[in-house]
Amino acid sequence: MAFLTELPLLSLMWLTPAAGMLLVLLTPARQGRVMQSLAVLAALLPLLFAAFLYATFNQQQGGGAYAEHHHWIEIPLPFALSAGQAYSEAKLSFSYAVAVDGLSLPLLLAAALVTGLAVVTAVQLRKRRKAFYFWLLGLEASLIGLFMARDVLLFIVFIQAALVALYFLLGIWGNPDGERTANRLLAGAGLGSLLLLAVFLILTCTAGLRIEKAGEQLQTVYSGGYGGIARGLLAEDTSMSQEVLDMREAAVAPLSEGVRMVLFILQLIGFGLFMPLLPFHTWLMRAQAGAPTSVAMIVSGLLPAAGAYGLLRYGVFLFPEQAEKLAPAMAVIGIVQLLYGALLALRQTDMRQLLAYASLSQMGFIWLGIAAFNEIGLQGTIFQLMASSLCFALLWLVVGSLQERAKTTAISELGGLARSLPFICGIFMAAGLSLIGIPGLAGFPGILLSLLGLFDTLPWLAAAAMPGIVLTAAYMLRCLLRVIFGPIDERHTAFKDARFIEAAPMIILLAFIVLLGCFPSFLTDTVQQSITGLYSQLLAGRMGG
Amino acid sequence: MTNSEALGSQLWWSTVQLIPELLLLLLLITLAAGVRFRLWNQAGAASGWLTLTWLVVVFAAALWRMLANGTEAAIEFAEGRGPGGVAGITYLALNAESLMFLLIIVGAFVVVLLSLEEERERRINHYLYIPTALLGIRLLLAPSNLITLYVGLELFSLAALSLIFATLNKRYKHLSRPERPALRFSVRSGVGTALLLFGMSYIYGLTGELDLAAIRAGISDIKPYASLGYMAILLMACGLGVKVAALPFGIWVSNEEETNTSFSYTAGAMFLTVAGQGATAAVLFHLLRETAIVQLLGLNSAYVGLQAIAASQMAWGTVALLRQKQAAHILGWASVINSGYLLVPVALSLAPVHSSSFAPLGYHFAVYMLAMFGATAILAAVREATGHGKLSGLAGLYHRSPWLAAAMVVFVLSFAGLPVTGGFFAKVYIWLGSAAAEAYWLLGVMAACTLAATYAYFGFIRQMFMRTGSDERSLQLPFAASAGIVICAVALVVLGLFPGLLMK
Repeated sequence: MAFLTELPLLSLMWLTPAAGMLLVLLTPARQGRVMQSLAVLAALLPLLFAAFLYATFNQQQGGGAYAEHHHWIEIPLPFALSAGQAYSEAKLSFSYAVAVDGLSLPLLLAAALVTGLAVVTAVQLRKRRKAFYFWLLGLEASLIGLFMARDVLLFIVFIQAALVALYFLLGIWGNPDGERTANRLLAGAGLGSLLLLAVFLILTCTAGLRIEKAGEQLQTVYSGGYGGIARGLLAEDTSMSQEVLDMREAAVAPLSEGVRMVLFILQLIGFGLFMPLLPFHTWLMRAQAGAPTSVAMIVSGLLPAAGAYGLLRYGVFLFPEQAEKLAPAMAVIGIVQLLYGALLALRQTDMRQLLAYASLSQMGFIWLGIAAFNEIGLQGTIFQLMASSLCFALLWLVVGSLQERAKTTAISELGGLARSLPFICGIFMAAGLSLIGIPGLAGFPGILLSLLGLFDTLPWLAAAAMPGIVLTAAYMLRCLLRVIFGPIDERHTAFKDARFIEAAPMIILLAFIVLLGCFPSFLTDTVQQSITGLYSQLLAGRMGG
Repeated sequence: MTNSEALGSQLWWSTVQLIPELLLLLLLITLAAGVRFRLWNQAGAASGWLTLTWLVVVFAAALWRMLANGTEAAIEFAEGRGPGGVAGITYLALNAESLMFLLIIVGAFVVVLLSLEEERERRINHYLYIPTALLGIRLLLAPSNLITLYVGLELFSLAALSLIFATLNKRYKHLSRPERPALRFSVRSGVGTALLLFGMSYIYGLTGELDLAAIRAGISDIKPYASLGYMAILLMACGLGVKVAALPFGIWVSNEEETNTSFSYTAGAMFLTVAGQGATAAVLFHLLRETAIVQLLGLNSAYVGLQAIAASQMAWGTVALLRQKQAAHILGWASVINSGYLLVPVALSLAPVHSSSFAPLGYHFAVYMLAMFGATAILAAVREATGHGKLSGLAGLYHRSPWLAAAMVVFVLSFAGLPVTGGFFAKVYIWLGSAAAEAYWLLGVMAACTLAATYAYFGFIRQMFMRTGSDERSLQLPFAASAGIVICAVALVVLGLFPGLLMK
């Protein structure tokens, strides 16, 4: 496998599904099997690359070796700046910059795993398969790219490309009213992405501005690079000459406290529309409830993870002071969301609706972890993001299998399925227990670490989150017990248990859930070094302003 | 160098500088002669092929001129010749105007390609309007005095009029005479001319000059008569707006309420709409830079005023867009929104801190033009097949003609400013200018309008991919039109992936 280190692995991660899109497009529709095989291969290869990255991450000193950078857009701007005797020409610079660190690698692995298995699951779909594979691979490529992007414009390209793919997936294959669901996506996530684009462009023009020496002359560069923006916001470069400092002062006024707060709040809303954040959650609820199984697997776990990742990287790490000021508010939102989502889930009579509200409720723990604003909280957030991505993917897979057989997801119409579908029900039970936070499964460490982190900084608010755990157990056990046990309907006795193509993704996901639950160090050890680095950066930013 | 040698050299230089314009003039004469002697009636698409080939030659000549004028030696040579123009026609160097001219020639090429295999009677007066409009736009792009500005505008109006007389008037025979588009166009064009000339006469009265450089020099002298100056600017702006920007727009939406609409979906009408808007933005950019008229208005008020006009145009277009049910109307209002977008770089060129460049304008114009032409061609084919122009005519297009639907997706994504199309970077480039100039409110307006407009644009996608149509037959497009659509779609994707190709 050593040859893999020679390859541009990060680019290949998203280019493979992108190439798969092209291959699917060019394969004649009548050659269904070939198309299917190509799609599955293109979808699973990133998982192989991600596994390799994960395995070799520590050896590469925190992942520093896994970074790629190429100039993408370099445009000279036809105006010049002058400060005293100095004179500077200006240019615009956006790069194709991708990298992984402790924050992104677990999520990248989860993205490759869940999207890859979603494509495998789509094998059962019959309606307009070519187009489905095309857009599903597009969604996979975009989400994988999103977790690696280190340039604000590249991040926006990936996030908007993901939205376009989702629009088609929900609009064409969504039920009962896919078109309306797709329009809601456009209004919700579309607004979010536009807010983020506006914020990122403002950052490019302010914090992203750097002065370079180009021979004898100075050059003003407006750059979208993440590192440059972080340096511009968080750290004063003491090595800059007076000439450069004067030029920078002439070019741009430093961002005031007020503007920083506004930019952070805009990001909070922008990313909150993906996570989701109360009260901007309705579109995501409908999207989950109406999406086909493969898409719901992605929408319920990975899309919120993408939003949370973006908020951490571009919001909390770039604006630590503002984030700390708003931490109590975020914690309150988290608690309200946790309880509100759980109460609504408790009232649902349909499994799809229940899972949608469960995901809203579970995101409350993510908010609590972020609001904790310490290393344990950060670990808990990443753990919980990965765990909920896998757990919800598995739950949707099970619900999809049940729906395929029973033609309904109404809880009252199902019961005693353990007799006819012991394997599927066993998986369902394990996934449900993981969501509740039973030790030994992936849900436990995430919830524990998030709450431990919060106890350290905001103990009263952490205590207020406790009923959320009880409510989670209540709605999930209610559903599990009704569906799995009790009397079985006559019509359901003849159901056949999972086929290999259904069972394989379930087993793989469950294996990861058990692995994370029993050996949390599988995740924490790998990302510890990077998380400590990121937390130090957070502290430095908070102290330095 | 003797006087006669110098004169000969100057004549040679002037001739070389005006080769593209002379070639266009020759094309116009040839086409007109062909019409007069009924050559084109028997020769099928000969006039189209001739125009197409000729445009390639004109493009090559204009490109060569732009590159040659970019070399230092040529600039020195040109500088040695004084004002750098002949008979009021400024030479185009390696500059924004040259780029705009080249882009519009490319647009004309695509338009001719799209309409090459249309029925004879729809072949729009044998393309006479193409060289006429191009010559008009060329004069408009870099006028050195008010006369060339006026002549350019009139030539452009003449092109629009010839197009309307040739096509639209036939469609509106059932209407009473005053409502006929051609007559309405003529009246409005006349009003525009009157307003423009009246405004120019004020400028001439105040400064005693028609030359823009001389007006610039004398601008400080007319400050005591500032109110007259404002009046002149207002009249000229109205005249310009009516003649170029508003009128082709009128072609599209003037009969909005009519249910059995039969708007011209011709690429030619769209060419005049888009090229007119691009030329207006470019001429504004040029006039603001060359005449120092801003001194009279006050930099800040001109800056804020232009931004307000751009924002209101985008907001107005977006609100109207959301109500449309006819496919052509959606494109019509999209053109209003985009003309607002084109005004933003012009406004930002007056920003106190950072002066924005022409590049965002040129780039936005290029992608807007390609998306508009491509979408128009597809809608024309759909209308031909369904017999109506409603949005629902596109229902199930994905099943009937998947590649055509895919091309339409590219155009829609470009309109909406989404990756991986050129529209994304056009939007980013203009938004970035606003952010750099700290015009945050304008950024907010653009974001809100983009979101609402995207919903309307996605109406095309909803119809094509999420609805089923009554007709299952696939759409048959002539080869040339298909090639034109492919060019537009591929160019938009390439510009979306590598925007630097054009931005540099």
